[in-house]
Amino acid sequence: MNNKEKYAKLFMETFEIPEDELTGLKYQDIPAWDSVGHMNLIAAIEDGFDIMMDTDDIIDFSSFEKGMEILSSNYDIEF
Amino acid sequence: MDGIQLFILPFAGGNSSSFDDMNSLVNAGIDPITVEYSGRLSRRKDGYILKYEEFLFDVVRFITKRRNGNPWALLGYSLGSVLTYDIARRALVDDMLQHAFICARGDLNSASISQGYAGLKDEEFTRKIVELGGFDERLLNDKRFLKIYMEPVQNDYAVWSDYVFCDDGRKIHCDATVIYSEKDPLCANIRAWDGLCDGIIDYYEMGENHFFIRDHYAEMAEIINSKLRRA
Repeated sequence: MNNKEKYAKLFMETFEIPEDELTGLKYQDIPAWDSVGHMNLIAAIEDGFDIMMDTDDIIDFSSFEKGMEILSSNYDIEF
Repeated sequence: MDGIQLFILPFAGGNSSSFDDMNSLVNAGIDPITVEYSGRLSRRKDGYILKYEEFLFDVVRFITKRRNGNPWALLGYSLGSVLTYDIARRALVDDMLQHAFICARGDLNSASISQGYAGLKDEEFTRKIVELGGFDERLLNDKRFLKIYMEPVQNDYAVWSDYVFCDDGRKIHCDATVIYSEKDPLCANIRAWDGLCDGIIDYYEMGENHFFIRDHYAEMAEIINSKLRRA
């Protein structure tokens, strides 16, 4: 499983949504991605990629695509 | 859009997405625009504002930039209700304001107990916010997330602590609707709004706590649709 597949899987498992809902998905677009859902998603990503995210990055993590951008730019995770 | 603009001023800690569930239910002829307070989401780089008058005029600038010449309305929730009152009575934007919605905020004539929350230590402050209801207590289990969530709330309570009611005779100069919960401790002496508005004022009671909106989006939208249809 490459990083993009792993990243997508974390989203799908955390929010219990199918893959075709991931593209363009933004914070609070779905009921599951509320403040608690965000907390769970970040915890899953930190565990999954063995990283600890900065506060600014957690706040900026506002969409499926933005998350990949942050992980790529600030945590050397290649997609 | 040719409809009436509805500028929404969120509660402490709120942001431009806080009213999305309600906004999706308002009529097509209403253009809801939720104000983004300085320091959050798209305005994070602008930093927090802690002084009430500075905060107020930042909101006025946000609204003024987005006015399109159509009639408009204001909806304030809690802290946003205080801002709504000042923008309306001081006519800080323009004279086409049609209606003011005041939500979850009681008497402004006397200091509110919640104006003292800003001076509390973090744990006590959090306890007070949790007591107001509408708070997902699962966030309490993660101190890092709790800090992220509470930061804008604490900053907005600093703004609220800086507010001083000024009775200079100017009142809200359009019709108004007050929406509140009897069980909200921050809605004391709610009928005092009668004395702060020159227009017709209606009252609607709903919900079980300060954040009654979270269980009543449809009812809120229905009231808005009804009032702005007639405005």
